[in-house]
Amino acid sequence: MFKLQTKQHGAWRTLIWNLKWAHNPFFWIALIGIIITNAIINVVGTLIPAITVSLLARNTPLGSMALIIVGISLVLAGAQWFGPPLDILSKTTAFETQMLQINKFLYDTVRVPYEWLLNPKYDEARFDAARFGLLNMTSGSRQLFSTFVTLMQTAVTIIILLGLLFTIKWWIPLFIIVIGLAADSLQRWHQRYRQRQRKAIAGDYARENYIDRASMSEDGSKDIRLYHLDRALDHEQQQAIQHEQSVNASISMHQFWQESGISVLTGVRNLVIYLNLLTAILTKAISVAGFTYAFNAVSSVSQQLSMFMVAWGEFKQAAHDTDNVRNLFATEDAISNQSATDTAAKLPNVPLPITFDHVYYRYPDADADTISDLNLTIPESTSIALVGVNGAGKSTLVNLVMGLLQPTKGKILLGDTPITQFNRDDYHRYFAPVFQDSDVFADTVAANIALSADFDEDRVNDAIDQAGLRDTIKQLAHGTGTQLTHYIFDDGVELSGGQTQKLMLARALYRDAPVVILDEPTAALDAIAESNVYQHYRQMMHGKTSIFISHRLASTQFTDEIMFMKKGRITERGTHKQLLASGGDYAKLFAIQSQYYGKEEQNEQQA
Amino acid sequence: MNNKHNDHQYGQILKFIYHLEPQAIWFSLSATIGQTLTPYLSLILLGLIINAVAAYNQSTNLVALISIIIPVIIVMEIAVAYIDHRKRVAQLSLNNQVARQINQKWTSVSNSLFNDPSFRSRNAEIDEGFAYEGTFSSFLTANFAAIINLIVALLVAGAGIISALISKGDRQPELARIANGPAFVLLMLILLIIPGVVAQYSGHKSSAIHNEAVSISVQINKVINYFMNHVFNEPHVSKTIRLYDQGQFLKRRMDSANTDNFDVNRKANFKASLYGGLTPAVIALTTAGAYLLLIVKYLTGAIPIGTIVIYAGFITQLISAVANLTNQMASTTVLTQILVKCIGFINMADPAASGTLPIEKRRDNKYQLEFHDVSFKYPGAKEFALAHINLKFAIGQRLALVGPNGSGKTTLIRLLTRLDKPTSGTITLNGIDIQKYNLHEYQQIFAAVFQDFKLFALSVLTNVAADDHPDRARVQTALKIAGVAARISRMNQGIDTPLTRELNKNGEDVSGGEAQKIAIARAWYKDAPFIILDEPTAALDPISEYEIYQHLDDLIADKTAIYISHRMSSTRFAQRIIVLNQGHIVKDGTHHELVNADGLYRDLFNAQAQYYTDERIAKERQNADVLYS
Repeated sequence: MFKLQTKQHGAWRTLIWNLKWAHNPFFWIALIGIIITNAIINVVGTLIPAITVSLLARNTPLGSMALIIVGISLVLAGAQWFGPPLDILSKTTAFETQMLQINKFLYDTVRVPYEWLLNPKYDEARFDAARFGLLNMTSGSRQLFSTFVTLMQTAVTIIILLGLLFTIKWWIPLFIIVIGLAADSLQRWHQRYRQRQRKAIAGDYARENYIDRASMSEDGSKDIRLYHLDRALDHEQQQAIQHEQSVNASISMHQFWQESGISVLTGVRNLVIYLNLLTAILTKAISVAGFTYAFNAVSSVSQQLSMFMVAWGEFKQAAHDTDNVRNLFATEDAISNQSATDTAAKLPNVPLPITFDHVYYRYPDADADTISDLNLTIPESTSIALVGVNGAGKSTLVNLVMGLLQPTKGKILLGDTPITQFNRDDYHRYFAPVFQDSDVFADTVAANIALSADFDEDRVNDAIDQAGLRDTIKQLAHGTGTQLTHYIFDDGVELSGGQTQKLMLARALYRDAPVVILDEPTAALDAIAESNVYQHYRQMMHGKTSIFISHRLASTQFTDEIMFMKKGRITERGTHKQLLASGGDYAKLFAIQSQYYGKEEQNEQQA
Repeated sequence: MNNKHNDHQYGQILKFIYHLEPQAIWFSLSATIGQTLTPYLSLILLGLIINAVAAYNQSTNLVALISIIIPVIIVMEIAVAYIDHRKRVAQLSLNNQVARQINQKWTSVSNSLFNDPSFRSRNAEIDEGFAYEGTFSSFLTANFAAIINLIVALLVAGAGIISALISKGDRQPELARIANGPAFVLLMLILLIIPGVVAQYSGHKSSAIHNEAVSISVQINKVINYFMNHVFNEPHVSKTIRLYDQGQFLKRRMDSANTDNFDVNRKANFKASLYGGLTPAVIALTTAGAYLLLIVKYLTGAIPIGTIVIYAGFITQLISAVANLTNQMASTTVLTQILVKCIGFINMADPAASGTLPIEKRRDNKYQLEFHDVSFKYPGAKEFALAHINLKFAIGQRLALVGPNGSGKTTLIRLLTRLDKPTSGTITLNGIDIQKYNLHEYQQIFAAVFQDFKLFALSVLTNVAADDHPDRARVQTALKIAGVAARISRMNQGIDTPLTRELNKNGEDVSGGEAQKIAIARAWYKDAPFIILDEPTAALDPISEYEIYQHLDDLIADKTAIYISHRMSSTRFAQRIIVLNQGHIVKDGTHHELVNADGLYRDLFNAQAQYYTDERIAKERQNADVLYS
């Protein structure tokens, strides 16, 4: 069962966790460099007017004045020049960390139990991890790194600037900090408001996003045109936009109040400090140069201070967001490592009987069992047809057999061994499935059949012949070396529905596994191609166990046995003849389908 | 030359924005002016204080000065914050309008343009550009603001600098000769221009590096996107990956694409950043130069000490504005190019939708369609998908299209509904080439149920009516005719229930058969003169299939119907059967005629019917009778 960890790791621990991903010593060099350059730029930048005033006040000769000013500006220029490369060095670490996390995030979908993918809670956890931590430039690890860098650089700069101010008037730094804290609480007040409001528009974004995808997706394009559906889609989008904009406008208005508040605070602060400095300078307590420094330092410090405060808030938020990722990964790792450490039984390489012993299965979040109290033995090396209406549980049954799903209750045995005792990945090798949804990978024809970079050319060709794909492959420009799909290569070939089904069949044949599972493999084939599959079926499945799911009852006649499934149980079992003779549900289903193929006259009588 | 090109692009972009959301321009303009002006006030305040102190003026003046200027700054900041708020709202609306325009383009263009790879890749480029370079609102806050910023800086700082330059002093005669001469003015001008030149150079260099990196990473990104969006993102692919043990292999491919991506990015970004730091470095140096020039002026007695601070600040502002703009000009050509591309995309010509003739509304449904020697070849294909088709659709007739995979059945439907355009030959409606009709109106004479039909995550009502002003009673009737009314009425909000839970927690999922029936209801609701059914039952179990067959009569009524199915049983509903093979019509007749003659039709029919022979049916019935008696 999927149960998400919900640990709060704390900001610094999360930072350390992130540092381990794309570990790179350049990050530390860059960090130190950024701290130094930022300090130089801000401190020296603030000092220049004061230095000038001070030099002039002392009647320094023009030549030495020029030397000093040029010298200082060279230092400043150096810091400015090194700034961007250092920044890039630290950002690269952040970017690569996030990318590596995205890779794990993607790859984990094939490591965790398949059942999780059908669980809305897992979906939600993944969605949160993506939205808050991975697929967002301003949150997660990326944000954590950049805010950490900002915190460090501003902290050092602030300490230097305030230290200098302290020597001029001891209370000014304290006053600046107090006002800074007040401004920060205004900022938090706004952040909280924004977060509350944002929840109200998450649905609008999802709708806008959906319309974006639906508008450009190939699968609805014909329907949109022939039903003039652009009106309904645009209407939906307009509604989502209207609501989203009205909420965003109130967030923006709220931001205005926050900014106004900060302007007033800053203004009052400046008024108090300037008037006080003015008194000091008039009473000769400080020099004109000191005044000039203090005047500029107040605004530099407050700028750095507000950067520091914002970064601190964002740093904690980013760490909190990253918890979504970290907890997801921890949950995923726990389950994948657990299945790897099992002492695995040795997988046989010949067909053995498969037994269901009081098996129940219920989908996550479902109200009823899809499979209930199923007892069944599939004898080895026989071909079985699995028949029943949509939703009877046929696909669930084969998913249980292949170990994609684990029974909620009861157990499944291969021979005498419970299938949970096999290593999961090993166990999958026991099967060669062909599914309803076909998956052609962006790779060559041969690689798609062999699903391996090094393959046996002859066996690939055998599989092609047996699946009836020879003519199609002959017409392709590069034969079995032709790239399929145009996800990656613009000149990749897209096979038709019928051709794809044959390719999937070839893939299963190449695998040569003890058990073959065919889930609706002929739905997209024309009558003759379909009939060809049936004719070769017995030969293709010779010596193997095979389970054939099909709505075309014609297929059943080539199997050794038919199992009729209804509401999660096998209700009828036997040969085609036996089941017709028993006159049950199978017979009725067959009668419905066959009536149209009878003699015309008969048909008209019925109609 | 380059600048002229830019001007033209800027004009085009501004015009486009103005057309969609004029407020976005006005508020961006005023917000920028306000933001640019505020720092000058602080500078002036500091300078005036220093001057006053240095000259030993009366302190009361200074207290009043501070007490006036600071509240003015506060008021100005609040005003700017308000304008900024209005700017944010307007820019958000602008971006949303652009998104809507793009979607409208997608949903309204002809299918040929829709499927044109260059159309799709253009959109992908725009999407990527929006994500990395910014959108129309970034243009306003970056490029547009940079220009305004420079204009304001030129007016304010320029006036100050000129006044500094023309003010003359005579305290140190030999220095004054230089300070009052033309060479001094020239020196000041050079100081102002140098950072601009450097910014132009470094901007060009870094954007060239970026462009090169982007062109390399296009293919890498394609691979990464493939893994992100298709391989590791769908449960059914996940099933195949698990069972065929592909995880490690695919991950290695993804990882190597990522490593390549890291390499390209690291190198390009680092190289570009070396140029990026050049401009601020030069600004630091030129600012020092400006200080020195002003110090000379001070030494000659032309300006007081505080004024140095004021004008040095002004000069820094001006230099930054110049550098900022030139930098923008060079490095954000990528952004302006993206925006111009976006405008081009929205206005892209659509030749296949160029027809303008209206469709005559006929109550009697007398729409006569005819194929005249029509051939069609898919772009890039070697063989014709359809060749020399001549076919006249009889009004009110039910016609079945039959043939093996790839024989051209679906292509024929696509040409008929103008989803594709014949390579040669013409299709006519009431004697006129269908290409001459308004595409949109023409497509409204068909109601089609495709094998890969699509329902949207909207309410059942909207899905069936496909309209924002639906006729509720008619939707109910449609659902009844499709045989799904009872199921829908059991849903939590009846016909207003959203389909799927994708966008709404109260949404409900429907089975494949139910979805198919809703699609049929949609076709009935439309009440179009032509009904097209392309493999509507392929994924259904026999009972659902049977139920749908039962409702076909009500659905079709007296309309012209065209039916495609691999289940040969369905041809029984047709009054006429056309058999296609390799793009040609090979047979044309009734089921009775065709099944009694040699040929492809009989082969196809028998291939399936052999498994359902009447002897078997008879036997089964006999058995059933025995059992049930």
